[in-house]
Amino acid sequence: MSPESSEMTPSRGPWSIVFAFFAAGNLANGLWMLANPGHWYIHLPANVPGTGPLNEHFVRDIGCIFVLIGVVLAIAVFKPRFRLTALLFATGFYGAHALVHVYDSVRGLLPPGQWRYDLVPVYGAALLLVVLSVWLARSESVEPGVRSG
Amino acid sequence: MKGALPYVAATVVGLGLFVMPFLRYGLGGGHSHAAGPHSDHGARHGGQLVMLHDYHLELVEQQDAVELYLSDAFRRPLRPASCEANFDNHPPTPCEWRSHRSVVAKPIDAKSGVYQVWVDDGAPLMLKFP
Repeated sequence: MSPESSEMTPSRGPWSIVFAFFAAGNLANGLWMLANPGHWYIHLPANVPGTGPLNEHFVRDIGCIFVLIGVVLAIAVFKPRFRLTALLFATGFYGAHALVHVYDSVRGLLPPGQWRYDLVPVYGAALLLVVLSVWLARSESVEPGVRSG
Repeated sequence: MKGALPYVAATVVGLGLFVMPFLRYGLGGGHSHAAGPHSDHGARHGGQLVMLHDYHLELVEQQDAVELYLSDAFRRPLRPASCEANFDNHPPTPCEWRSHRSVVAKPIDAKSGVYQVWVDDGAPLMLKFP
C-alpha cells in the first residue's frame, strides 16, 4: 500500500479499497440501527439482547456514531489528505469501545466467557485499526506531501 | 502479479473490516453471551420470567396491556408464530407483534390471564399468570 496519488484526486489505490469497505460496513450498521432498532437488536449476530433490554433511543444514538464514521471514511476515499485523520477518528471510537468491553467484562456486567465473543470483532478490530493507523502515519511521514493511495 | 498484491491485501483487509461487526455468531459458536443453555434466568425487561419447556417467556404487565418476550434456551429472542391471551372470562385476545415483542391488550380490571404462544413447530406453550 505505497503512496501513489496526489491529494484531491479520487484514488483507486489500495488504501481507497480499505477505506471504501470500512466505510460501507459502518454505514450499513449505522443505517440499520437508525432505520429499525428493534430489528437490529434481534438480528445482529452479536446477540445484543445478551447485554440488556432494548432501548430504541440509545440504539439510534449509537447508530449516529456509526453513520458519522462511515461518512468520514467515505470522504477519505476521495480525499487522501484526510485519510489519517479519518482513520484515527475511527480507531479512537473502536479503541474506546474495546476498553468499555474490557471494563464491563472485568466488573461482571457482561457474562463470563464474553471475551471469546468479543475477541475478533471488538478487540481484533481495534487492534487492526491501530496497526493500520500506524502504518498509514508512517507511510505519510516517509513521503510528506504525497498522500497514500 | 506482484503489483496486484497490495490490492489483494487491501481487499482482504477491507472485507475483514466490513464484516467484523457481523461476525460474532460464527466465531462464538452460534450461542448467546450466556455460558450455556438455561444458564441465564434473569428478567431483562423488568417483568416476570418463566420457563416453558425449552423456552423462556418474560411477561411485563402494563396497565392496559401485557408484553411477552419469548426467547430460546440461550436467551436468543424469538418471534412466535402466533400468540393470544384469555383474561378472566373475556374472549381470547390475539397478540400484536411490535418490533421485538408480542403485545396483547388487557382489560384494566383483569385479575389473571392465560397466555398461549405458538412457536414455529406448532406446539403451544401455555401459561396461567399470576
